[in-house]
Amino acid sequence: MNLTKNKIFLSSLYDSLVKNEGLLFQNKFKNFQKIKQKTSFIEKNVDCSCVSVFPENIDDFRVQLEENLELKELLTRNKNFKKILESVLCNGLNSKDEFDNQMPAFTYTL
Amino acid sequence: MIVLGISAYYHDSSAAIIKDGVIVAAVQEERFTREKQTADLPIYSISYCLEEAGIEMSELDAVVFYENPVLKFDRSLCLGLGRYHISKDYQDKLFSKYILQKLAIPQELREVFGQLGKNNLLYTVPHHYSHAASAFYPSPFEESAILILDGVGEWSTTSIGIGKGKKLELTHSIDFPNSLGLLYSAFTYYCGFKVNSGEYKLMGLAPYGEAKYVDLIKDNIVEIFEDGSYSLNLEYFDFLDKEVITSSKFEILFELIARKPETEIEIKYIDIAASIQNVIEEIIIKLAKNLAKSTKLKNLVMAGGVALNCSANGKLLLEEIFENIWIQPAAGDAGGSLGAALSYYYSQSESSREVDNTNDSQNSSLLGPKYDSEIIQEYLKFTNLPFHLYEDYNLLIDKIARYIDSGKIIGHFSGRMEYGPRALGSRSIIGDARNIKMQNQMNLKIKYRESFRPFAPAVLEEEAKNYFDLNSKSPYMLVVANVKIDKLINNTNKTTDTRYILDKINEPRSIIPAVTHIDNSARIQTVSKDQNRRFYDILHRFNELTGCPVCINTSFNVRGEPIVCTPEDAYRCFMRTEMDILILENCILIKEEQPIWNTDDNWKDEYELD
Repeated sequence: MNLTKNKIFLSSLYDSLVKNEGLLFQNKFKNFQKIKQKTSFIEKNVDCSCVSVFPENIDDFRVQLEENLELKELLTRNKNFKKILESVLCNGLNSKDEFDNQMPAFTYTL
Repeated sequence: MIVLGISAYYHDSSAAIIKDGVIVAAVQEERFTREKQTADLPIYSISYCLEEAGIEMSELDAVVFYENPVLKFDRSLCLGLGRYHISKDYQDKLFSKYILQKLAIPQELREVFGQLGKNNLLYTVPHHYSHAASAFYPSPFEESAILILDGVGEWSTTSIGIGKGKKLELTHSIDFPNSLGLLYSAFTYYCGFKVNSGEYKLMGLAPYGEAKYVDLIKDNIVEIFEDGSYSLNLEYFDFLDKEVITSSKFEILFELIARKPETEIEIKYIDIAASIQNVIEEIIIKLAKNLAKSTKLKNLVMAGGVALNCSANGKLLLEEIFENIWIQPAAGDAGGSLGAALSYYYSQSESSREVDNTNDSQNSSLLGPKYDSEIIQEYLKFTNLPFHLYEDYNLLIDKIARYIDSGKIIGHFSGRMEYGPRALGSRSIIGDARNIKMQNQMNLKIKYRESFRPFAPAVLEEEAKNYFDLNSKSPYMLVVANVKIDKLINNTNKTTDTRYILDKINEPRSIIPAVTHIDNSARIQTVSKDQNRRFYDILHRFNELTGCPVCINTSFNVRGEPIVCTPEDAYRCFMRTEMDILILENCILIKEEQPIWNTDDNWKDEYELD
């Protein structure tokens, strides 16, 4: 179990995605008030009606994640994201006991 | 096809089980663990549902979770990355918690129950689709517009769509961080109440105030568009970066610090409560108008935590935008388990959906555990508690009605426990609505809660129109309407000083003062013979004796405590409070006859105040 990879999950992604790729996500949470618009409704362009299987391995998780609009682009273009995500999910999903043990480190190290 | 639905790990964990589309059982985990609105994995609820259906977990056709963990992960990650430069510790904490809890659910369930259904898989349904399914499928309607008003699911906070037959489609959403639920919760927090449970207090407080700050709120905190959609000014909120929901700008805007819980409520907070209630109602009505215009449908179904705002629901009814409205009684996340199960069933089963356009299939929301008289008698005998057994049903009903008439406060425990936040007669405290002192007495001596909060009337369905301005049924206590003008009384001694709301409480405003709120409104439960026979019979007999078909109905608990589930819970609550009579099915317990209760003065500390 490589704990280090998980400990740096968010900070690594932040460094590689947000800092280096133009504050991609920060814009999403900026003040909506400043944007002149007539509605805040978003047309559903993902079919949310389908029942899916709770992902219990990295491949299933990634397939489902790739169908999502927000993160799809990142998954397809950023190798670092893929690598770190796989590390976290493999550790997190495949062995709960081990994952439990490492969570305090994950929480307090960043 | 037998399907189990589960909601967990946010608040109001629950489980529900359906068989061939029929709801067999549904229950909130808090009722078993006695921790209000617990977010725990609903182990006890699942066990109960399986027992009620007479099935093992491995025999189920499907086990379904009420939200999609991948979409939730998506939001958690976007939020984490988007705000990491501001609040890395908080984001890290949230993300860690998310991964640890949510993604381990299948393993945790297997550890307790073994195989998850025949396929040993956990299925998922998006959060708002669960809400929508819980609202549409049990409704009486073949076709209906759908409005989901929530805090937040995965991304969606408000959703609209259409249900037709067994097909359900959500077409548009408003996404996090814009959220009607979070907006209302922000004011709940600011006015000194607990988020995710104190919202109904804010709603109860609102009628005491004047909506002076509507424009201030709309000019600064939330922009409302013509179609009912809205946009929050995030400068006023800290929920993206902290556990605190409002920012300091709230205090600057209103020139008033956030109220500390349990402190005196200044009039300005009350006016603010009235103002945000007004804003919420404007948004909901605009959303409904937009939905009616775009769908051209005459029916509306609703769910999501904000759909429990019965004052807003009452205003919506008055607007007559839709001919018929049906609201899921467990509109909050507790209803997610039912929606998840129904959603799976109707998307995977080839069976059609049958409706009669009149009656819903919610079974009066009496979907929880039941304790037969024999079991209760065994419990009472085993514990040496004196009781009176009434074998004759009519004598029992007559006795209960006479107790109410004589001013007694009664804990009524009968039949299956209610699913959802409202007690509808099975786990209720009932009293005489005509009694001027009853509201204050029940608030302070029974419920141990703020005395500004009104009680709800239960009324015979056929008499409701004579007492309230209500043209439809309200079996789930989800609609507020005014007491009819001919039931109001002239009060020449009205308190004029609005600074002290408690002075207003004891002013009788109608012939049923204990259930008439300051604005002459009431949160009504209509009771029919078909839906709730025993409670109907009690009201009917009380009406025969007194000429009044209305009683107080409030949930059987004290402040901060989940509604009682078992006879033992009921007896404990009975003895800790100043209730006079306890009815356990056909056993009557009289307070004066009970052994001295070993007073545990610290028992109130068991329950976190909301």
